[in-house]
Amino acid sequence: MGLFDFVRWPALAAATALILLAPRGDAAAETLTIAQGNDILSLDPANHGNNSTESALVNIYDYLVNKDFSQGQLRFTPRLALSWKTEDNIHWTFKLRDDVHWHNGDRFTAQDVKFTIERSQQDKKLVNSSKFRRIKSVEAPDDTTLTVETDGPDTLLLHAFVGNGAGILPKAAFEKAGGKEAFFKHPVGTGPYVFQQWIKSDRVVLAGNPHWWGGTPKWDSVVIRSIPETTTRVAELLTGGVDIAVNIPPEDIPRLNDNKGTRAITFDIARNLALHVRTGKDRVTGDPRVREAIDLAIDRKAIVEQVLEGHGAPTRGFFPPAIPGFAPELSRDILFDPERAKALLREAGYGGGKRPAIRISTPSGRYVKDREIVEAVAGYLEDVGFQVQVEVLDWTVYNNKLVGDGFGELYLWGMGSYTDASSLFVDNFKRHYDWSDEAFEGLAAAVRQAKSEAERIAISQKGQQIIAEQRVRIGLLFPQSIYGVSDRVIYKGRFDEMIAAEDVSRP
Amino acid sequence: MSGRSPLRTLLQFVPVLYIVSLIVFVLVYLTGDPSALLIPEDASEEDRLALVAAWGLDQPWYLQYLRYMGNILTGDFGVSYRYGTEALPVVIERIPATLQLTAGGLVVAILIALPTGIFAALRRNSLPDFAISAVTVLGKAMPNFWVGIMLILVFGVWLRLVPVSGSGGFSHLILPAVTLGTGFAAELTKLIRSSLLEVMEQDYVRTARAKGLSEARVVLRHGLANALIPAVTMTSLHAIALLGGALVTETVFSWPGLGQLVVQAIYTKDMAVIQIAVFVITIMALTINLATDALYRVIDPRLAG
Repeated sequence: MGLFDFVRWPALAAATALILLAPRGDAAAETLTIAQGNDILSLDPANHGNNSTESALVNIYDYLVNKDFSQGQLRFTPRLALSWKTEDNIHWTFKLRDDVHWHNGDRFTAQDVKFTIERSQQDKKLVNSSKFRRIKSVEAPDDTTLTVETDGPDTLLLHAFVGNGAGILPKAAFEKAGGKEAFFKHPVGTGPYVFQQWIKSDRVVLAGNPHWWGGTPKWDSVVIRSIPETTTRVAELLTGGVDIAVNIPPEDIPRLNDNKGTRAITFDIARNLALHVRTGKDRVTGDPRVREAIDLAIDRKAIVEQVLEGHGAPTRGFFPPAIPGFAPELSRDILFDPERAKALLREAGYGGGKRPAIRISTPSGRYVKDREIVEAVAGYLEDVGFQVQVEVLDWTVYNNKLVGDGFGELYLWGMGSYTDASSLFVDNFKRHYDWSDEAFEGLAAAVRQAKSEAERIAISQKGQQIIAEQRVRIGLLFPQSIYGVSDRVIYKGRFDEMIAAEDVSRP
Repeated sequence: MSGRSPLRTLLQFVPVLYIVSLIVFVLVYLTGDPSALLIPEDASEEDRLALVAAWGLDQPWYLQYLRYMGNILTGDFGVSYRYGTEALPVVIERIPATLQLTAGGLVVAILIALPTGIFAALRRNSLPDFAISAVTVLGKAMPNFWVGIMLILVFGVWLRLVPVSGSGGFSHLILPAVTLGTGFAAELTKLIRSSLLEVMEQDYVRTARAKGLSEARVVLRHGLANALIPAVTMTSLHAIALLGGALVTETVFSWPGLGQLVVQAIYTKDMAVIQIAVFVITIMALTINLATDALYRVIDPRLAG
């Protein structure tokens, strides 16, 4: 063999060998593979504040109750608790299932629930340590009875038993492991799937729990993959590598629908996008007329149609319809009136070359089309005479600015995974918005003492009215979520964006 | 570095590591605490402040630093805020995937560059040489991100020869390794070509030819051996850069290496993870330097003296 032959072929030979050596992957029919945009952060339900993490954990652990949004309205349904009752929203009694076993074979009892609550309360370093803040005491008089006493009337107690930090943990197994590090290496739950493996930044592998109290799980195994790059997530779906891919950009919908064997689904979620406004006297937005002008200048309908390609709903409100306390009038008769906006600016003393300067900040890629939405808003504001500076920031810096109150006049905020409209009152409006209002503060105090669901909702709706009226927050839209789904499975998507494998079935 | 014992070299790294850790601490401290990024979205300001206090992040920076250094001296590298577990294993478990990807990328680059570079040098100014030149410019100009996506679309989606992403068997390594290797292959090809051309002009090569040795022997034994030193240097520098994480490639292929971990840790100000990752990468860089030194001596016995 001559030297030239010697040097010419290795590259080609190596490439051929690489291709020939590669096995062709065929996913087993009984495995469900879900592609998320990021890795889970923890196997400890009490120690993360992250939706994609919870979406994986709902398969391993059970809540005491379920939140059901399938009827378009929140309903609490039984899970580990069969029923619950309270006379005064202070003293609560839960009747628990008696046919539940942990993945290690132990029996589930009320002691486990008591342990879960007290562990969260005592370990202050847990991210969700405040989850059960209103519970004063919890007792387990027998294996299937749990009594809870809150520090006052708490019409929101059931919410504490669902979502981040609410997964019930086994007392005996946890204590036997001798600490959380050891326990969460091989965590034990009561859910339909048993933890097998977690390769960080890659995948979580679960196996069907043959002894599940709810029957035989639908899948032999569930693989939850972390695929941050959208193109890769879509490619995996197109090639059958995954069955469900989350967070698909609107422009990829036709591609998924045109491809044989995949489709895009869209559904409402618990999120809103709003402009938060700094109303200090030293800013142009300190003038209510300027704030009203901003509100009137934005064509929300066009933004939803053009930027989100219709996958959302325009609103001036802050909580979508399925959330208790939704204020329907804020999503009706939304005014888009640039002429009136111009007039308001003139009244406020602007015009004739004098333009109100505002800075508007947005993250990029955190919420669906966040930057594009803000750019559209900036365009509308310039049309009526504002001088707008758009500031696009990295998410970490964005959070720093939020905590340190470093934003300009407006910033985009996408509140999500909330439970109830009364969470509106949690925000510190004086500090973050330089705004206070006597009526609103009265409501904030009253909502904590609300004795009934109806009272709480009425207060929340009134609060939203004030915020919208004074334009402390200017609601823009309720975005929808877009997933790619393989025709091998049936899945509709859930309002809370949790992907429970038991909600996914074969055709 | 030749002539010094590896242990001494390692010891000299202690002050370097210390200074690096101080710089990382100050930078991360100055950018604020991670609480807002980690708490649930519906948590209140009070909840967040309670967490900051529980984590001890409300103390002055010098107290935090003293506590941090004290813990390290007792072998406690701290807890990852993001993962809520001990930080050391969080970093350590990423090393195998990083080493695999780095090695894979380098192997691909060398397999392409060595024969191509030699070929181009020997056929200097021929049509194939110009063609190779053009391809190397293209190879260097194509961003990894684009190469990765194209490889996925062609070999993963269209031809379905290899898995699209993820880690696992050897087949998962192919596309990321090729992505990582092609850019460097282009650089290395040019370097091997030019240094081989330079060497082939030297007197000892002419002497070797005059002795009547076969051309293959002249090129491989006398030419290539001498031309390799700069190529080895460049490869080792490149390997060090890759160990720090090939972020773009890792993200495109969702490869669980150090790059994704470090960047996420920086985003969430995960102090302990950043610190350990910097330690680990520094130590790996040192190891490669030592290995490169050893390799020099193998290639050129004169350096061993």
